[in-house]
Amino acid sequence: MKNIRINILALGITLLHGLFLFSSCREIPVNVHEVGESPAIYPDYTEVTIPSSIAPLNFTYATETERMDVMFRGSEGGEISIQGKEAVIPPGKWKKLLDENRGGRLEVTVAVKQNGRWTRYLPFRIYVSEYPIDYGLAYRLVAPGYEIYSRMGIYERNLSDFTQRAILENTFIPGSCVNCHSFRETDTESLSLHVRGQHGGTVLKVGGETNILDLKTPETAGRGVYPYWHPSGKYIAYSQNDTRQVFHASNDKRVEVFDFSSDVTVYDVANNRMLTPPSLSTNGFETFPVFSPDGESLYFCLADFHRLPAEYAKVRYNLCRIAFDAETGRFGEKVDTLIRASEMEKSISFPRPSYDGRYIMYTLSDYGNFSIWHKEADLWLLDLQTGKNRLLDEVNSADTESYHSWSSNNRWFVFSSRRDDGLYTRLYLASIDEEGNVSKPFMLPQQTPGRYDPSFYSYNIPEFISAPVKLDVRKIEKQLLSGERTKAN
Amino acid sequence: MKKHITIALDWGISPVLGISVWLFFAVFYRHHWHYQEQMQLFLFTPEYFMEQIVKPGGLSVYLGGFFTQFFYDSFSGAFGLSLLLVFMQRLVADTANHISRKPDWRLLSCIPPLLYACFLCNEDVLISGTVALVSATATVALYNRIGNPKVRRVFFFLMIPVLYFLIGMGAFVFVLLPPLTEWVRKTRSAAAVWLCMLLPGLLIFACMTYLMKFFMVQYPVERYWLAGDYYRFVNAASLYFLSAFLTAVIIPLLFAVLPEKKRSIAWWRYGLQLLLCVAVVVWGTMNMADWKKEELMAYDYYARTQKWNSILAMADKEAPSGPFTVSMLNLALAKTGYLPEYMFTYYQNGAEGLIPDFRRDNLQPLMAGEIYYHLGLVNTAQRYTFEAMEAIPDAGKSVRCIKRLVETNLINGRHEVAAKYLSLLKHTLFYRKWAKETKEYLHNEERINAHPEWGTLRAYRPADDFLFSETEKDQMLGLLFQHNPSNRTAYEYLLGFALLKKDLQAFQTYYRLGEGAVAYDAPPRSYQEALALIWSQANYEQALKPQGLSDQTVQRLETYRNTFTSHANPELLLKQSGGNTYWYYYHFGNK
Repeated sequence: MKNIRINILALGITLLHGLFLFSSCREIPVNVHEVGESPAIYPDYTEVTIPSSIAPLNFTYATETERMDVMFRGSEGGEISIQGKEAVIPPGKWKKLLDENRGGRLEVTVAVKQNGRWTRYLPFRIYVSEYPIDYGLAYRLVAPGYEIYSRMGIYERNLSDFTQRAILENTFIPGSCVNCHSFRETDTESLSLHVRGQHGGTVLKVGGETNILDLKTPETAGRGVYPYWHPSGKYIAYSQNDTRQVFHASNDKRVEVFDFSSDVTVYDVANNRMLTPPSLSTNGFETFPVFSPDGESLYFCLADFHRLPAEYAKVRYNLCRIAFDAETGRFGEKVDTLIRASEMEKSISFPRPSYDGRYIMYTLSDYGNFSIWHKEADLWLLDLQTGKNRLLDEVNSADTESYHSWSSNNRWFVFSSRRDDGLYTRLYLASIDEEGNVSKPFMLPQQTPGRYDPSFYSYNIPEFISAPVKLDVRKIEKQLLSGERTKAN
Repeated sequence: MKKHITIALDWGISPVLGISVWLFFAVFYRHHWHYQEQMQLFLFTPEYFMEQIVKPGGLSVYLGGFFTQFFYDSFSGAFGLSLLLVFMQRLVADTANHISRKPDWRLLSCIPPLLYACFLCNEDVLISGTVALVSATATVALYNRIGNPKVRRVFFFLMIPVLYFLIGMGAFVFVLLPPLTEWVRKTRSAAAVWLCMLLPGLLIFACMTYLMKFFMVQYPVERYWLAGDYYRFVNAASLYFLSAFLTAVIIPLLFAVLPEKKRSIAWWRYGLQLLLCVAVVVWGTMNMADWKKEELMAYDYYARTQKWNSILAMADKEAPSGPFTVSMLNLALAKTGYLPEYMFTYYQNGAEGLIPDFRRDNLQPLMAGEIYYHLGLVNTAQRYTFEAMEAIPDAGKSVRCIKRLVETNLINGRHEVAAKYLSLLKHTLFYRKWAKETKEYLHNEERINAHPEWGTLRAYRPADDFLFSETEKDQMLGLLFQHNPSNRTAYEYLLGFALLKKDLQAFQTYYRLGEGAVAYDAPPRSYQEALALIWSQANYEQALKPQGLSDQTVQRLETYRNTFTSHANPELLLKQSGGNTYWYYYHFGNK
């Protein structure tokens, strides 16, 4: 439904834009006042690096304008000239321009008409990367609320245009909640996601087969959250979190989310059994399990036990690793600590290894594991080759940076950030080259680039996907409502 | 005479119906509609229109929202609603006329709109259903005006899917009425009607629901049977709707069998119809109107519009007794400075009546949020507001919530979030002026600080963080007051909390907190009564006499105590002589 609605909405908006373009004559800027600074455009696409297949970077001016006159000129040829209240770029021309300038750059000149007077700003550049990017992104859209949730769902977005399609919305079974989607790397044929509520269960899709799992065993509570696939596709690591939240009275913070208890478990897909190694279910708090790309290690975050909620601000997670044998499903004896963040009075969440095994990107905040509510949360990058661990200054902002994931070729990463308004999380993409140089991030392109997005949703858990997700929603609906579950051993 | 009466009836029914409905919803039952108005966010943007229109029944949802927004002013809103119901009556009468012109029975055409008006007394019945029924009967009227039978048939089959997509479930009225009209008018044989119109029509209607499910997989098929969202609980089926919609089908058909007109006036016919209309109204209002909820919504309306004296006037007429109405009264008392003086003049139902606990629905967190807002617990008010908006059963948004979120974010200095919400409000009809004025406060800290309400609440906010705890409200109130001793509301709530909990020790401790900080000419009445009670428990030891306690209060307490001790069952007696004292609450209140 969302898909059709979005498409019709997009068609309507495009028609309106088209009508506007045809009905308004192009105005030649005269008596232009030249200004020696970059234009304040929104989203900020100045000096960013983009993949050549990306959707048009439509933008607007930060303050009210009567008209904008924008010229895109490619270093390798081609140009697009547009005029209007907003810079809405024709998709066909944009695609052609990017194709022509792959590995080159676009020079963008913006002139703005305000109070009847034109001002032209210094041109800025948009660098067109040679690195390709995946088909799209999958993410959850949910209101940044507290305990009650309204309509929400997991969606996919084609990065080459503005098409957003619902993978699963919580409307399909009233009163449900959909969360924790995870793919094997970026492969949409291997998917795990969770449906919470009266008819809840863990949806597991492997190839064409879809099953509803009940992960509850005598040893586990059945709350399979933060899933991560083993590169072989034979295992999925979950953490079993008993999550609670409390609310702050002061202005600076809103919500505090913590786990009363948490352990890491691994689901053996082929044998339908849960592996619960004692070293990953200690008195401490284990969470955010991720397999290394070679499949021989399991990274996770571990914090010492504290009384909660009284000592919530003392819970600090370190990055740890344990060996894993995919053949036998056995874990090593020893847990190594890779980064002892607690000693710096910091806490690590969302460790995500690049698929080539070179980096681990993670979020660092002052305490706890729910970094989205931590204004100080920033992205860090651990180079496993050199051991260098650094703050990703190139992409961080004064506000929250939190969840992130890698593209299949490891040359792009997407992350969620609250830099725009401090509450509604938006997605940003950045590139990283072979030397580890990171580009200035750019906001996921928006069809209507208003400064204040009318959406009530935050983007949550963005994951790259190599192809559209094929999920038989009607079948899943039937399976969930039937109550039939594959019970894990 | 007969002719005159017929003409008077023809021209008189609709205005009488319209004015009655208008007065009822504009004056007597307006707060339900104030509730409806605030539970939606109707935007004049192409995106909002497209978002509504692309789902089955979307046009009726959109138009329903359009009409509902006018309840910002109950007279305007009720005018729109009565207009719709009058249209409905005229259209039912039109179809009836088409079947058989029997002016004597014209009053029967009022039954569907009256029945529907009764359903509209339920706060979760939305105007979209009214729009749908009017649209369906209007399409029937169009059908009836097509002379060519072939064109009529094409129109019939074409309009079923179109109407279903535009107005939703109500399209079944159009599926039923034209074939049955043809049947009773004998323009087609029964077999032709059933086999060539009714059954295929029903089949198309049923297919539409499954077709929608095929294309729009993210909803259960039941949702497509109930398309149009006539009820706020969008997945719940209601027989009420079915009955209202069916009357719009049955009443016109009845005209085929009702007796022909007579030369003389058949008064019994008018009497019978009038009786039937009255019976519908009486049955409908008895079953659908909820005057307790109307009272609750009135308290809520006056609290959100800060008409504190209206709350006090309401309470003086009839003291509220539910936890939420009592809590709104207590808030009004606090805002007018009367809480410690007159708190026990009204019925009190414990600490829950001062600050109600959180509930997961779309109204009560809003009301509790009003209290937290005025106390200065802005973050909590914000949370309650957000939760209430997320709890709206049809997953819509709320203009009231958005407005409050603008305020809480401005107070908290979150200008960008406030700006986002303001950018939405500027697309509304009745809140755009407020949005425009409020925009001037964005990024203007000095101006916010100087605002009589926002500046004060900003100063009330706790500087040191603590975690909200539903079970430790008194401690939170204490921290609020300690942070800013000019927060008199927090102080009076703190003391009120201890009094309602009958915790005299805590009251004494908290009372001392305010000494020197909160200036009263003399301790207010309920405090004096509590202090006298505490002193009496210390056997009036002179050294322990509370400061400011009047001898008159002590004498009143003694009189009260005499009655209390000298009667085996003094409750009723004391209710008459001292029912408005803290002592009475202490001994008999909130059992």
